[in-house]
Amino acid sequence: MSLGIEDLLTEGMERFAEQIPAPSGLARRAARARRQRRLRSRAVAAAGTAALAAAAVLAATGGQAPGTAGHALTTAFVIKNVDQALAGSHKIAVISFRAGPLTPLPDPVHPGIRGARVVTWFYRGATNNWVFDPDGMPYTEEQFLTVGGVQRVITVDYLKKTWIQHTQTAMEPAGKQNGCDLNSLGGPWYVPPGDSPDWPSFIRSTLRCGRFALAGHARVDGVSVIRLISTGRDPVSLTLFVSSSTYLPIEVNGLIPGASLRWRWLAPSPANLAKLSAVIPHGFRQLPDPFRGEETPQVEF
Amino acid sequence: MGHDQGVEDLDRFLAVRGRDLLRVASLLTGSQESGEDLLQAALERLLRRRGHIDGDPEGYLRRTMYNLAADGWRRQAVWRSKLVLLRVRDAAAVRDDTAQVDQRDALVRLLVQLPPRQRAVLVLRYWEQRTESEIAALLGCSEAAVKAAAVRGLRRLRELAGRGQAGGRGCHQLVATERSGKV
Repeated sequence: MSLGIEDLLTEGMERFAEQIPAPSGLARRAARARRQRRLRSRAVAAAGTAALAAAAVLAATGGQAPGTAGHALTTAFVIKNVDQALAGSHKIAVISFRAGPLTPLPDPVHPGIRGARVVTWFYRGATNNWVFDPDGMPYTEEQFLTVGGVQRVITVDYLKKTWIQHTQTAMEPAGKQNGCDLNSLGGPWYVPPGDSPDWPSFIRSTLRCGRFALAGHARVDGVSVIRLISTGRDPVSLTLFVSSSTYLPIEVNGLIPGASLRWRWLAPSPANLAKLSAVIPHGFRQLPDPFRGEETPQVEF
Repeated sequence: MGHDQGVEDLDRFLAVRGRDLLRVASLLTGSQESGEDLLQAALERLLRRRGHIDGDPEGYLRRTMYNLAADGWRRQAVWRSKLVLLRVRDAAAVRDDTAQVDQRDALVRLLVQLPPRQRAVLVLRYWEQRTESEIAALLGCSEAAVKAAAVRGLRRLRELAGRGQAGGRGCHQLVATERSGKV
């Protein structure tokens, strides 16, 4: 049988298309995105009007800024737009967590050992958690992959040069953050192993409660951002950077009791997605599943 | 009420036809993720114009997707096209190790390296099995332009396959088998 490039292309397309599932929630996403776009257009028009009004006020007051009233209005405007952007967002894909060295962090695998730094990557049911020593060498890597309520866990022990794989029932997701307290429910930085942090609801609720105030503009990695700082006397202080154009969060820096943190939302690039996979170094020995024999859930990964 | 009803109607429509539409969108963009973005962009336009569209929205959605894709939809999003190319290279690296290379898959991966209009024409011609006159009507161009885009697209695919840009051995095999008339 002889096939030309056209036939091969047709067959190739059929094979490719077979793997594409039915879309879910696209109509609602499109409706949300359209609402956002309309709001943004209106906001641009309103900003133009506001600038004209501000110029008129400055002229009328001999150049003195009106002060708090104008500032409150601007903060509310930014908060409203961040809220809208989060409501329609589905691209906040990769999140990295970094705790500072102020308080050494417990290693989940080695009792008594405390890490100087913990880095956790999250993306759509996959989590990869690293614990590092003060020199930046890993103690432990734990990868969690949740499919249909079942979680596959791969643990790599860099001290003993061993690794283990087992499955378990996934934990119930942590409750949503709805309060005004920056530290209520532990904040999205205390994430149960394998769970995903709910930053959107945290940011939305704390912004609605007025727990952030506008603190000017800045640049993060060449992107123009709006800086928002947390207000009040919480033991937690956070600085939130949101994109000036999309209003989506770019980064959170802050201090929580005993540690510093830095969250970043990154594009799901191949390099970033690779950080979610557990890599077993050459020569590491696999240990038997310690939970073998117990009733463990089965699922195809 | 009217707005929510419109979205619910669209949800029901997508439950039936969504997979086919997403397949086309994914072929046009090179990945499922970008395909979802393209389909979403078409849905947004449909919602904006729903008062002006009678009956079945599928024709409008398909036309919009093809035209968005052919016009180099989101051509400013350079990182996105780079990402697709990176994926192609990454996938190629893995395939080199496996020895089980499928020529058909390699050819589809090469599609993303074609200019948007050529890619749209090839998807319409060889996936949707449309005639040249139908494609011309859909994309708003002449039949001669469609014919030229298809010829150039296929020629470019052969060149890329010959250079082995999407997986070395697999694409050389493709060219070799095409020349010898065997698969």
